[in-house]
Amino acid sequence: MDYQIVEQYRPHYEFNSADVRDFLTFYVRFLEVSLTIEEYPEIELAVSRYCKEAAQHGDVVDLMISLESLLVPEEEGIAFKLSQRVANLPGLDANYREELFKKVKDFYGLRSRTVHGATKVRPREINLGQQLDDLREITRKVILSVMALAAESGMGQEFALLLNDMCFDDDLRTSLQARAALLLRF
Amino acid sequence: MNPEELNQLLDSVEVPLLSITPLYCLVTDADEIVLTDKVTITRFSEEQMKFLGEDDRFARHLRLYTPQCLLWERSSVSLKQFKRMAEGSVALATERGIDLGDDILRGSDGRTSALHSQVNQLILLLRALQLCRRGRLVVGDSLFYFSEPPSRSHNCALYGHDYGLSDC
Repeated sequence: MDYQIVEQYRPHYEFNSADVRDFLTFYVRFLEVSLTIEEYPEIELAVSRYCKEAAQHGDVVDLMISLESLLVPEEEGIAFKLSQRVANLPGLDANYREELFKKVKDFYGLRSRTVHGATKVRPREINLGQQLDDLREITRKVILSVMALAAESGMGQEFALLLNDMCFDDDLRTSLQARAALLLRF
Repeated sequence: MNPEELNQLLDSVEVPLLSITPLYCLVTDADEIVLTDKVTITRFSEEQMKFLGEDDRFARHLRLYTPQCLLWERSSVSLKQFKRMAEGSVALATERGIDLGDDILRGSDGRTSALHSQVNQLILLLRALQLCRRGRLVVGDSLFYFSEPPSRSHNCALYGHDYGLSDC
């Protein structure tokens, strides 16, 4: 961790005395779920990348790797599949799904340019700090959703199929979102 | 004391273990938040670090890079676990030809420290804090401090959030 940079960070995370009860309820569920998903290295990778990004603010690549490891086992068409699956997992209505789809697709483009060494950023990416905060929150929700689903029914090939099917089946999406919300209610 | 009695003693005596983890970017309304009877979050003050001594490396580090809060977790290990960890540290130091007062890097060794379960427990707690709500909670390196019996302290660091045990 770069301690010289952390001194420049603004306060960013709020935890008050009134939050203790909710946290403890979350913590118990989190521990229960963590015990049942130890066999999935993709979740461990996603969580460690999310936490790494928190400590080294500003790395879109870590957050995108986190999302990719959870939602896209395939090697082709990653940008589209990832944007579509992220949109459908926490997206409760059509407008929010569309917003999520665009954001993740943009971030995937930025991630690719960063990985390939590009220095020029487009105007939409100027307020990168705020957008990274948004992406971090999207990633947090996806991690907790996938953890809950994996604890309930695993992460085999059927999981990828479910992610596809939920894009076209409203009832399935609603049902999956309800099951995925186990850790999101706090 | 015969070996059986010694084993019973090693199993029955608990060595208190305290972990202290600096938390950055945190805003809170209280000077102390009690999470459980063993875990608290306190607003940082240099006073809290005095028990470590003026020259302690961890205390000096916190004076230089001041966190908003500290996470305190109190637990214990059996004297047998403590003995195994001390023996492991001595063996590693001997193997590498370094003085025991120096840092012993263990993360890159891929070895499992006797502290592994305590470290994992702390990691899960920190991850829960980071994931339970929106925002960026930055977590610094942790100090593991053993107090009597026997009276000695021992430093361990967790680097970044790969949570590899790097310095034990």
